[in-house]
Amino acid sequence: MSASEGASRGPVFDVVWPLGRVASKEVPLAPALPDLNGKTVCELWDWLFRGDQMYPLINEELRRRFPDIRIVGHETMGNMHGTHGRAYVANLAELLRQHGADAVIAAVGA
Amino acid sequence: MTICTSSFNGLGRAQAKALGHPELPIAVIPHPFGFRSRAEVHDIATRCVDDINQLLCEAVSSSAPAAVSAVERATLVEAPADFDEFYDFALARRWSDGLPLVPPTAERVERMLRHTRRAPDDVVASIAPAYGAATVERIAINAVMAGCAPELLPVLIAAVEAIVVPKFNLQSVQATTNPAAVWIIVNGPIAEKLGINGGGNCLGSGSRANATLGRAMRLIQQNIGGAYPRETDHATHGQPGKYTFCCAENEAVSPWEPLSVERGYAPDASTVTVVAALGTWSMNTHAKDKDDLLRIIADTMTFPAGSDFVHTGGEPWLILAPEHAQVLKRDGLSKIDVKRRLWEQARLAGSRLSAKDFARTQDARRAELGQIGPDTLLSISLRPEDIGVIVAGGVGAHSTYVPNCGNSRSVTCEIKP
Repeated sequence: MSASEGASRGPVFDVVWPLGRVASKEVPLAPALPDLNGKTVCELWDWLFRGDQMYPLINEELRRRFPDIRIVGHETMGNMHGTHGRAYVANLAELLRQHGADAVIAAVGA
Repeated sequence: MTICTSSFNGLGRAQAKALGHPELPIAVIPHPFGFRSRAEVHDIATRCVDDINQLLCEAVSSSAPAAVSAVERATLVEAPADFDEFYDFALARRWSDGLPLVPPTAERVERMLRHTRRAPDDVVASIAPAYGAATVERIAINAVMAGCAPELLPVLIAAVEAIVVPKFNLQSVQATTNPAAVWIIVNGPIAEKLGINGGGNCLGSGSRANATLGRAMRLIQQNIGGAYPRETDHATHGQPGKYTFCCAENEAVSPWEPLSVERGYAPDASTVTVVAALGTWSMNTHAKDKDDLLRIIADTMTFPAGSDFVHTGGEPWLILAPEHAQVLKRDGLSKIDVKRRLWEQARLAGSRLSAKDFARTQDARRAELGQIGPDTLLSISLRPEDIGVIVAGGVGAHSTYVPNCGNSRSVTCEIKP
């Protein structure tokens, strides 16, 4: 028996809805890039899991397809995970500006 | 954009939405791929580049931001009065942890709200990963459903304030594959006043306050924070403590200052401390001198695969049985002495780690320990002070080790009316 059937057949009472509402505001995305050639892509990794294996393969393929792409790898961007993670994120916008990022790939679990 | 494995795509999508980026581009790769051949991984990477190109270079249609008020009062809905039917009703709406709930009638919620001076629409916190607004009212509703006595509300409000302090790292605690549960420790006169058990079986059954406070926290994590098992809560196994995990410190029998005083609060203050606990490990030893006792405890706390401490230096917790605490006190040790001794003795040789974990530890703790080799002894925490110690429980020679989760650090908040 479903709850709605039960509610329609027997006595009911009012209860208060317990689920929370999202408190954040929607933020628009950055405009899409026309092409990855000539663009700077910064790569973030948490230095866990398989990013050290995936990023070299992804970068090899990116450079093959977009010879003028500039990749700032996770080795340069540093470890975004750990006890310093919040400080890293707080400084991330400035770090991306320093590297002239046009796009960012974050691969926490890859 | 983000690259995400298929098992975590739902979490990634929910997280992006909660943070205000519902259209965030996510490239999805198969999960898991750690055992795949190099050729297969190469193929995955190639296909991933297709997605990267598409997602970064193709405009997405962004819907207009929805105008919702996170703090408006909760609405009333009609629910069946029959017990079994209400159980089904709550399960169907995902309000429950799997157990029956107390129906959150307006009367019950109002009765609970009388035990705080804060306004019902006062936002106590925004809870990850969904970043739901935990108003006083919604905390009260979930407390009612968990079976809390109304006077427990201020304890729960303080606990919610504590879990969102950044160093607690709630985002990780909520979504991790670790079996992380929020352990609530209550100190001060309010514990006795409200019947929060710090004596025998304090982490077991038999106390309404312990059972319902911990349960209410879990419901809040799920219903307000959006940590739904197998969707946004990715615990591999979880643990029974995710139903409820709450106790008081047994201050009456402790030979040392209570946790709240250790953390700077007045002796007559009441506090909650939240710990991201990975479980409990009972240590039964009849050692009757400090050296023997601490050696056994340190050996138990030092194990390679059960805790993240080897990677980051953790915040391990110890619940000393009153009888063990008395042995240590009799032999002249203060609480900080105990921590120092454990910090010196609870160490793991790098060679005991798996190759992958060893490499991770070398990276994570290089700044602290310098070059880490197989013979390097890894301390259980960065500093002796980071080891948490409380005295709780009843008779018996059983102390309990509580490893904590990753980079989470415990937080103490004062309980206010």
